Amino acid sequence: MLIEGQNVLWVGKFDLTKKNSFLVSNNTFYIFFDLTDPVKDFFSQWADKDFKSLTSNLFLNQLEKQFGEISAANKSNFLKTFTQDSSVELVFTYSKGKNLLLGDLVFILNKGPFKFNFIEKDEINDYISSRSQKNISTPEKMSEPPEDLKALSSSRDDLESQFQSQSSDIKKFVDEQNMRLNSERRLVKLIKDLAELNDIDDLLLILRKELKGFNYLREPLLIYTLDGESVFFSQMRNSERHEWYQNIKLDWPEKFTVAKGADLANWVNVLNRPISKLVLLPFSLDLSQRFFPKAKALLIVEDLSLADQQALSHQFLLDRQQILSMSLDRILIEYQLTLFSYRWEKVFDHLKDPVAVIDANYNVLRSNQKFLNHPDMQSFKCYKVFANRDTPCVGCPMEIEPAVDASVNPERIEFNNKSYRLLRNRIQAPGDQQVLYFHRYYDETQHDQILKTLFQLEKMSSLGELSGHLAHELNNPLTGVMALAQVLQASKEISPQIKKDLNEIETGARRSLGIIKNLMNFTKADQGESLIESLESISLDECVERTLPFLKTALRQHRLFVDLKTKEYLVRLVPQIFQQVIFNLIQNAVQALSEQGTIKIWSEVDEKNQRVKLLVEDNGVGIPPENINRIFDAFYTTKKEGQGTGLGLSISKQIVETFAGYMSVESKPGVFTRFKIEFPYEGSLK
Amino acid sequence: MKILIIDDDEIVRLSLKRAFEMFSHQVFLAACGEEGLVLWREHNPDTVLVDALMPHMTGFEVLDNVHANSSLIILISAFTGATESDIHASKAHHFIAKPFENIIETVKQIETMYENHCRKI
Repeated sequence: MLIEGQNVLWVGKFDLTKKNSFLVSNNTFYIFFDLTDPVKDFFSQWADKDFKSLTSNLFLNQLEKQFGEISAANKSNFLKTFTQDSSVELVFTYSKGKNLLLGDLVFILNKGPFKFNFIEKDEINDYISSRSQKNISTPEKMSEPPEDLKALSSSRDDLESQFQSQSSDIKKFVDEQNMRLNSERRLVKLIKDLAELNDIDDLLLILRKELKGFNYLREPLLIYTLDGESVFFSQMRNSERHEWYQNIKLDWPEKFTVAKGADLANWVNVLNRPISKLVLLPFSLDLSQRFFPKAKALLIVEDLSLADQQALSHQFLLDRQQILSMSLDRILIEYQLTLFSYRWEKVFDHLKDPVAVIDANYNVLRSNQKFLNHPDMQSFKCYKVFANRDTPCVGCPMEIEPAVDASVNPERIEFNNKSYRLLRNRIQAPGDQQVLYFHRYYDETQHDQILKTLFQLEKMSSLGELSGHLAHELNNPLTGVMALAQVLQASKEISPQIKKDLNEIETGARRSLGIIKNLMNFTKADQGESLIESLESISLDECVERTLPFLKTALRQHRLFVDLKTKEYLVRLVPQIFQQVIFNLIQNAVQALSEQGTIKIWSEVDEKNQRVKLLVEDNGVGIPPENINRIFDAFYTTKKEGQGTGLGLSISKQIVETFAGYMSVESKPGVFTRFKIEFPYEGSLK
Repeated sequence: MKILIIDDDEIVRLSLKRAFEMFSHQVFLAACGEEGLVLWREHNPDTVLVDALMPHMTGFEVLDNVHANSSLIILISAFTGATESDIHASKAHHFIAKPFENIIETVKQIETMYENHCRKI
């Protein structure tokens, strides 16, 4: 447990094969402790007692009692050094990476009469050699010269000593000057290095290089916070930067401090590492504090140096305090700026509308992804990348100058069948000459479509109502006309020729009444009856026959082929609603024909699958393959304004599917377009 | 048979009058509900044809204002004029839709209805 050397004790387990050659200094007594629980316990016995007034005898006695006997020579050496200038140094060694909460120990030691240090086990060699060097220069004694020579040389000695003292003054002066020059050169070099660095890694690496000369200073640790809550710790370990952060409240020192007492104990606990001496070098972050008032930064260096080395190392650090502050300040601000713009850019990218910052010459300075419809490496003009145009968009409000930070009334721009409402703000930073514009584009294409459709539907519904009234009004007179014609035909006094004419009148009236009846069924809005109540068993053929009369005018200039063969197969649907589908399909076919064309309507049975099919085909323009998938989308239309709402096919498909049917389309551009409707049939009359 | 026809449409009244007269029935015409009620009381007709949809007073309101009597009451209406439940709730015995498929047949149909009606009473 306890091994002795001259003026040195090793308490605990140590591998001492090499260290026995330890060159002992005459005026320091070292005790090395292996930092284990017994050692901690040994010191904690003084936690409540006055460790400062601890007598050397008591300490020695306790040490012997706990860890083993000490030789008389060492005891006396210890007592001598302790009383002379208290140069007893306790060195605690620990294994790397172990979690050691040693705040208490440090606190106790701080109260005590001993110097102390903590080092890692594998640093023992370096530590010993750094301590030994100091004691290497033991002055050599010169042999005394003969008496007669003394007199002779005395005058020369005087001269020489005078000369030497003068020249040594000069040398001292030159050396001092050189030293100062050197240190200033180093500072200039440091400023140059710091000016080029980009991140905290670089800063820490430069610091490491700077502190290389002081092998009793450990790797510096940089601590900073921007919000006063999240504290970041950065340290180089080998060639990698380790960074971690903690939400912690710290006492940030105002100026250069050597941590002592409770302060040191606190830091030991924060850093979770045994430390004997800490140097705290605060950085001033003037720039960062403008944006983050609670920003703080601090450089912590673990100091293993002896008292006479400290002044030098502390001055060295103080000399660098300001330039290091400025560099860190710059790095932090730059980093925050990068973060800030990155986050803003993300925010813009997440907007569902295109946005862009544009200058007065239509150049895009910033935009989100949605804006870049047509990325172009050559041009940054907004109309090029957004609308793929070579001139500004129609309706662009660039000529209208909004007041600073105010938006002008929304403008509308249109291209490629799309319509946008453009909101525009002027951006001009205080004191900046350049005027920029923030453009937000709201896609109103669909909005417009819905509006148009609503108008159309409104029109349709009033038309439906109107035709309902009209039909009702016509019903009575036509009933009278038909009835009178029948009565007159029954009369005996009327000639055969007139009878024949009356029959024509009757037929005409009957046909008119039939049309009116169909029309009223067709426009009959749902009158509270549910769909299921209105379901009928009817053949597709019947539905077509009921609908065709309404399309006679529309079909007039085209050739119409009707071939219905499924009269006996009944499907379940609401005829008035399904008629709309047939109406739509034929209407569509007619609109696809620019000149006289052919429309074929036929029905067929698929007995194997128990299905009936209705097909409507035209030989018009056809549907290009790229559009065929969108043909059933709501609001999709290629028709001219006013001709269609883009809802017909979409609604038709829905209707067919409501009645358990299936609707599909096939087209060969320039040859034909064929819509097919299929229903399962419920039974055959055959 | 004395027949009262209450219908606001002149050509309907006229055609029905001609058809019934062909079969030698006596026809009274009323152009609105109020007039119909007056004629009803005055002539106590065997059969009354009343249009369901008329301005001012509908056919249903006419029937609501009739006191119990032995007339055969037939409601006539266009296909969207009335619902079945309305007809059932009224005092009408029968319902005939306008337009008539064949007015001669309609007259014969009403004659049969009347015979059955008399037999029941």
